[in-house]
Amino acid sequence: MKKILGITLLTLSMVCFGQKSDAKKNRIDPKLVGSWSGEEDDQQIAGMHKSWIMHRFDDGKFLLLFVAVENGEATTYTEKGQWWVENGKFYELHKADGKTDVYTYEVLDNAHVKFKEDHMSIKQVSENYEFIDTKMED
Amino acid sequence: MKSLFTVLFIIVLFLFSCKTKQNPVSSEYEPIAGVSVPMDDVEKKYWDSLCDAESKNALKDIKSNQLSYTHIFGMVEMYRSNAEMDSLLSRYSIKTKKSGYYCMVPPSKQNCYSREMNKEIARRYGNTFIGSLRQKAEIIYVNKNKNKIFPFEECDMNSRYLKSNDYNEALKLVAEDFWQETDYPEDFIYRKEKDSYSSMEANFILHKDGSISEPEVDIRFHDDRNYQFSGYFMEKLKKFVKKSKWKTATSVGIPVNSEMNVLIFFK
Repeated sequence: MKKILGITLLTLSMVCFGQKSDAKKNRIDPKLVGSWSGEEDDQQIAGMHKSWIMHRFDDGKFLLLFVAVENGEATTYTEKGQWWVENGKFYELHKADGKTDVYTYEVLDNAHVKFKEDHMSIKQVSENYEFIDTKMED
Repeated sequence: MKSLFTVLFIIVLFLFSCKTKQNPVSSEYEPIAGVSVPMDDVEKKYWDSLCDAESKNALKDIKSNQLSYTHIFGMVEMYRSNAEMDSLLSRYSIKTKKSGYYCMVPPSKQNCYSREMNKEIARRYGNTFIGSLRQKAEIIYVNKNKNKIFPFEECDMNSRYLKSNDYNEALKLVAEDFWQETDYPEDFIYRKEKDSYSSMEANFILHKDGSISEPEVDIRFHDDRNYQFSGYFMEKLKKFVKKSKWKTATSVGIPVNSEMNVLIFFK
């Protein structure tokens, strides 16, 4: 009996400690994990077309590759960072400048997620910057 | 053999002492160590003659009672209230000019016109004349821009944390108070001796009435593994900033809206 009680207490304390540590970790929405593509026109910068591929890893890291086309000239960028979700919001922290963009998001179906700006680190041309990411693969 | 060593020792000592004596006396054109290269003779002559000509022109203008004050730009103290200063100086019939300051040129060889003029202004109106006029210009500028959001560095170096009146103590207290209510996650990777520091910074607007805007937090970790806690730390800092009591910033003693930041370093 004593043994069972001891094991139960040990298990409970392990669960509690685990939760305490996990509570401080960024939360991941598994529906957003994988490779996604998207595009937008004139929203961030007038006259600019942007398309991107974003790979969101299940450990919270992301890799963003995007192409910006303006006046026929294409520029490619790569960004790395951390993503997480909190209270229905999607957080995208860019390691290069330490700044975080915040979006509200809505999972439309298994292959589409709609993002709408909540707070952007850089001012956008459009006040209602939004886009839809399409899933490429898990 | 011993005497040979002694003679050699004396010769070496003599040579070293000669070398020290032969070092040229540092001139005005001595290059700034590690920053500039030595100036060649042609350039030195140019600055010498320019300074002479400027000084002569200034003396000529002083003689004909045409005083002017020069706003100097570059790696020198610069002011936001130059337009106000111009207006105040015009009451004394002192005109204004603009000039650059070159860090590679000796201070005594540049802006020679303004140096002569400043001497004359001080002679006629007193040594504190320009300083007190600048003080007035600064006050006029701040009053003119009452609704502006002043950059942090344009404000007086007063504590903006209600718990302290001392600027430096306030910075320390803010960090201490934050860490008193914030725990490190168990899996947090602490900084090792040679690692660069990890930090986060909350930026917000501190309004004249003591209220603040929504803080924005930038965060950087030296160890990538700590990014998994970014949301936790950012939220903690936001909450801390929002619940803390802040004191209105002042600029030349006048309460102003100001940019404010709280910088926190990680262990």
